[in-house]
Parts: sequence; C-alpha cells; structure tokens
Amino acid sequence: MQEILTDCGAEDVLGLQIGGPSGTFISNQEFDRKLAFEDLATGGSFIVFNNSRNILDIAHNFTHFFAHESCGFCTPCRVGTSLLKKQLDKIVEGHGSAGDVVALEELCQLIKTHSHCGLGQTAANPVLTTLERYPELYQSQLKLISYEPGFDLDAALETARRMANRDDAGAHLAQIDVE
Amino acid sequence: MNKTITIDGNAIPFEDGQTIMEAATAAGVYIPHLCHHPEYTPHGSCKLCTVRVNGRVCSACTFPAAEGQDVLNNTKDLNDDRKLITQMLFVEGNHFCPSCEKTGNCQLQAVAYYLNMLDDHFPHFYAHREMDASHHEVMIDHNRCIFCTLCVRASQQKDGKDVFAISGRGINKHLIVNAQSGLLKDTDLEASDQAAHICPTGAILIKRTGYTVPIGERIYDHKQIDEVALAEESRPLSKEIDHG
Amino acid sequence: MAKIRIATTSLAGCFGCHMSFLDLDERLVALADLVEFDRSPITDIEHCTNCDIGLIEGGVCNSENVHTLREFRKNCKILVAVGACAINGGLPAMRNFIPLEECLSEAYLDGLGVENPQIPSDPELPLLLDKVRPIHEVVKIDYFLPGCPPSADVFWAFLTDLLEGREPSLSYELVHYD
Repeated sequence: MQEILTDCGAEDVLGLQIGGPSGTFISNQEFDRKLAFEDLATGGSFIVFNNSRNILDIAHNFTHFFAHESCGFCTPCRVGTSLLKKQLDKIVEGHGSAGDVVALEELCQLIKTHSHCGLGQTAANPVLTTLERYPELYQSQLKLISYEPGFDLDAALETARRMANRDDAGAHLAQIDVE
Repeated sequence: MNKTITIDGNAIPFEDGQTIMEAATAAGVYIPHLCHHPEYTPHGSCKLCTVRVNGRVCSACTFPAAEGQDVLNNTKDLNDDRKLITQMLFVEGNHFCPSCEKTGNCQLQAVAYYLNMLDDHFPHFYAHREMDASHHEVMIDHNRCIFCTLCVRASQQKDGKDVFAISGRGINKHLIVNAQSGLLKDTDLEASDQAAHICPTGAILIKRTGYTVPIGERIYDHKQIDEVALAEESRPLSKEIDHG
Repeated sequence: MAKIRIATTSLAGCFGCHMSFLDLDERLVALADLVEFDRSPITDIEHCTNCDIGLIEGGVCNSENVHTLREFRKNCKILVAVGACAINGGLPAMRNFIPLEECLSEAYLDGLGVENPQIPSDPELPLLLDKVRPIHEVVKIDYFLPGCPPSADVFWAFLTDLLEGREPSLSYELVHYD
C-alpha cells in the first residue's frame, strides 16, 4: 500500500478503501499490507482518504448507498440494509445510547451471513471494517444513558402544535428524560 | 443402498435431484419456510430456511442434497437468526394481527409463534401501503405482503395466467397486477385460481369468507406450523386447493 | 418478606389488557399475598413510587404517554410491554398511514356533524404525536407479553416465573398476537 501511495503522491492519509464500498477500509497503521487475493483483494478500486475526512461519514455514505442499491430479493438484505441505515443514522446523528453499537453489529452480522448475493453479504462491510478499527469512534457517539428514542420526539409534535396554535412548555418534549 | 445426508446428526435419505428441503420434508424434518411451497419452483428469498451445510450458509429450499452433507437445522443460533429475519418481515410491512382475517391461519404468524417471537425487536417502518378491493371476489392488502412470490408462481405455473408480478426494488419493492389500470378487477384473476389461495399471509384474501372459523379451531391455535407443514407437504402433491 | 410492588397503566390502549389481567379471577387472591399495587387504574394511585415491575398497556400516541412511560421507566426495575399496542402500536397505529393533519381536520374541523369547528388547544390537553409508536421505541423495555389481549394465563405464567426467580418464558399455547 505504501508503495502505491508514494507513487501517486498521497500525503496525510487517513485510510484507504480497497475494493470499493463492499471491500475493506484499512487504517494508516496497515500500509504494509499488500494488494493480493490473499490479503486485500480489489478489482481495481482504490480510494484514498486524507485526514480531513470523517470515518463515520464515509461508513454512513456507503451504508446509504447499499440500502439504495439492494434489489430487494431477499429479506435480510432488503429489510436489513434499510434497518442498518436507520441504526447508523441514529448513532451518527447523536441519538445513540448504550447498546446501540452492539445492535448495529448484530444487524451487520445478520445481513452478512444470510443475504442471498454478494451485495448483501458485503453491504455491512463499511460499518464492520471501520468498527473493527475505530470502535472508540462509534462508542464516543453514544450518550451515557440507557436509552434514547431513534426518532425526534419534539418534531413528532410539530403538526399538532401548529394546528392547536400552541407553543407552551407542555407543547414540547425533551428528547431524553431530564430529571 | 440409499444415499443419505445428515440433518442435526440424523441420517436422512435423499434421491438425486432433491433439495435439502425436499429430503427433510419427506423424512418428517421441518425446516422453517415462507416462500417455499412444494408444488412450485423454489425461490429462496425469504431466507427462513437457512441451514448450515458443512459449515456453509445455504437456503434449504434451493440447495441440492448431496452425499457427504452434514446439515445443521434446528440449532439455537439458526433459530435466533430466523427469528430476527421474521422480525424484519413484521416491521417492514404493517402486520396488525388483531385486525386481520388471516389471524390464526397465517403462516407468517405461525412461523413467528414457532420461533417464540414475543416482540418486533426492530423499529417499525410504518410504510404506506395501499389496499385493492376492486375485484368482486378477491382483495389485496399490500400492508401484509412479504414478497414470497407464491401468487406470482401460482398464477403462472398452475393457473396458466400471469396476474401477479413484483415491481420496484429494495425496500420499495411491491406486488403489482397485470392490468393497465393497476387494479385487480381488470385482470383475469378468478376466486377459484390457485393464486388467490396461496398467500401465506393475509395479503390476498377471498372476500366474504373471513372469521368463519371460531378462535380455538383455527389452523395454528393448537398445532404448531412444523406439524401442519409436514402433514400437508410430505404427502404426494395434491391437485386440489387445500386451504384458503 | 416485603411484597413485590407492581404498577400498571394504559397508554394508547383500550384497557382490554387490564380487563384480561382481572380475568385471573381467584388467582388474584393468591397474587395479593405476594404483590401489592402501586400506581394503577386498580388503585387510583396517580404516581409511581419505587416498584419492582411496571406493566404497560398501549402504545405511545401523545406527549402525556411519553411522560407516563418515562415515569414508569424511572421507577420500575422491570418494565414490561403488555399486549399488541405496546409491542407494535396495535390498532391505534393504523392511523399512522393517514397524515395527522387529516385526522385532526376530520375530527374537529370539517368532518360530518362537526359543530363550532376548532382544534382543541387547552394547554391541559396532551398533543398528539405524528405517529403512534411501540413503547420500545421510546424507552428500554425488559419483557414483552404479546396478545390482544394477552390471556390471564400469560400474566400468571409471567408473574409466577418472575416471583419464583425463573427467567420468564411463554409456552406455544400462550403466544398469540390476536
């Protein structure tokens, strides 16, 4: 990897996506690895990210891509990639709490193991390969509470608030339970 | 000498050309399934019948049986995953059992009971799905469609028609009917067609036949789906519509 | 030995689950030796104190449901979703496919027989959420008792398992969604 990066003049590298979105994300600690079927396989796709990039944004973007690309033939991929998108959105948008990363990984394994074709079997790779390397990044997104809803509670009252023409304290909800 | 595979350690005979599902069913071994029906070409999409064959994950309904196969079926790991896949189907559609005519006779529900599913685990999509009550005898409630394609296959393979198809992709996949208007009334579907009776859920129903069997006497009130499925599917292929 | 404290409530539900609980009939007498009721329609106590078990019927359809659910979560060691509505929103969630604006207009502005059309706006009234949600999407839930309603036998099996220190489990005959 280092040889390729040097040859193409890549500097300040955060990590590489080898083999496209369904391939492997490697960190800048692994540049001694090799392009090979036995190590990092690729049909040619090789994406270089510099340190201005955000790992979670990368995984988030690829995960949305796969949810969109799923043909919908089998249950684990059709429903699973959309659930994965929701679960990752919840974490990335800061609504995650204890257990949400575990739930994310459980979902990834289910999609990977049970999907019918290569798309589903690899659709969770962006999350799995980044989660393996940067678990603390995912964990740091979580709130230190036992549970937070995955949808915006106060926004869910917006229509009723508007129609009743109310804006008093009782017409709003906090996203998490405050003492 | 008979050829055999093993399923959960038991020797199961098979004939060349049989799938693992067919061999298992003939030997009285239940493998959970929704999109599979012995009278139609296997589809392999619901993934409920996922088994491990010599360690590899396979759909039992499409995978050919072969000598040397050591199959894991009724294991905690597989049943846990099957439960999660069933929960995916429940949150994807809108399955409000108390308001569905099929309740008690529904295979989706019965598989969930068999897997001891007590909740839906995942967040609900609450997808907006339509109903088509245009046909005078048959209705479609898209809220309950799980895309098993049994109606598609039954219409083509048994009824010699082409009433149903799946359109769209990903989470927006949906069942369509073969009419310019998109309405069931403008197709050549008749209530006596196999396609009108094959739905494992309450997505395709015959009108004016609901709630005729009292609670306690419905198919899955006391019998589990393994017993019901084996009794129906291990006998020689029937020519008649056996339930609806 | 101190009695186990149980609180119960109905959110967006029909109280059918509570009625089914009362179907325990004479077993209620045996239960009363082991448990006492905290906040519940059975006691008319309005707020939870520290409880061992909270039984929640119904889904979450408005802001008051959210507050009640949070009070239960804060005060109950074990929180249980009871019945179809608590588990998947149930029949009230069938309004999720009609925009809330249309629901409110039909009921209070331009529906048949509406007189003096106006949307109720008293601050005492809870506002409706745009969708009815299962309770596990709002707080963490420990156990689920499916059924519409769960039969008295389900409550009995679940509570006796818990009281006797077993992991609760429901046999095939006790699991139903209708």
